[in-house]
Amino acid sequence: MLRRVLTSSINGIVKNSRQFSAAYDADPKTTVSFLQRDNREVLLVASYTDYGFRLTNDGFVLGPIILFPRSVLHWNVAGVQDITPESLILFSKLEPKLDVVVIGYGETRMSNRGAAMISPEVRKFFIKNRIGMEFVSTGDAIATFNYLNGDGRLAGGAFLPLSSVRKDTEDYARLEAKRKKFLTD
Amino acid sequence: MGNAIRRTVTKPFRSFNVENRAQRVLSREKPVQAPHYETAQQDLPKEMQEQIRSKIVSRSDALNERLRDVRVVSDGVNPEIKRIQENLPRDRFPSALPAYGFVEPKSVPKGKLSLSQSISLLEKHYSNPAKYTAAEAAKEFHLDVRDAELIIEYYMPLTLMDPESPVDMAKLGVETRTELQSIPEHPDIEREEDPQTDKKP
Repeated sequence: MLRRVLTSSINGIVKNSRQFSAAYDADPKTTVSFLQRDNREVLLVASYTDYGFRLTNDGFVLGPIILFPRSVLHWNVAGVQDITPESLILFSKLEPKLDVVVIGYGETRMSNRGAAMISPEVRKFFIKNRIGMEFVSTGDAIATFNYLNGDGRLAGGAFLPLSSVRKDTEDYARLEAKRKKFLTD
Repeated sequence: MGNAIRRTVTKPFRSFNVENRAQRVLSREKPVQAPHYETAQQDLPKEMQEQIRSKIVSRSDALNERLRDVRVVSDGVNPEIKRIQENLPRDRFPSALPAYGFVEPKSVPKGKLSLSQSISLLEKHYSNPAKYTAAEAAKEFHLDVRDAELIIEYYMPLTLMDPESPVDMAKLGVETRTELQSIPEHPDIEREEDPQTDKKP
């Protein structure tokens, strides 16, 4: 079994902002602030794999998850076909009403296969309950959720793990380097 | 009360011939300057006062020249100015978030759940599924029985896994994927990257 931490998820937890100094000819200053470091009190997703999600409190949650600003639930669904109004019932029953629900349907951001996978019932369900909804791949969903949550919005997340993970030589090289570090430390 | 009486009594005297007096003041070419305070008059004799006034009004080239020659040069390190205002808060970090990251409502309408209620519902059910059924939960939280059934079916509270003990993946709702196992694994990293044993050294 191989777990691959996707480096692209770093996009979700790093915020990059450029500040130009007042002097016209001075070099522009670039500052980086980490959502993870600035928002220690809320729960963000640090990385995701085909098995589950590593959260910023360093816990690894197996399987599909439901995320709230500071709480996690397991989501008992097998795949995209199970994303139905029934399996999303909790979002419609919550008081106070959520601002937005981000659904990550699995897959990597590389594939466009899942673009039209949302069922009309799910769309109608969210319109009926007047909750904003995003239906995107898990990688994009996590980035969106991290931003919203770091921003203090009342956001909910429903994420499926990736159905498959592409592995390339770079990953093997990274893991090899990690292993060497483990041995030397 | 006493003031009101005094006002009404003294008003005719104050307003006697008021229009004529006002016209007299307004018809003057130039208003008469109010006299200086006695102490100011004693400080300088009248001639000196006039001299000074003429000097102030006229423009002095010598003074202008000196102003042009002035150069201010600063040496050394500037002292750091610290402004501490004791009465203002020094710690500007936001106060700690509430337990669930947002303020929970005090009263929840029937048929709805707060996040803490839904988590306690799930915890009660999964700690004793036979006794605390969907019907029980629906009764306690004023829910539709069907909604309670769905909530119990599709959501689970977080369960802690021991990394050492074997885990039944099917029980967790994670699909076992055969295509993953067929991918040739790197022999060296296989053991280490097992999610179950993923721990910090």
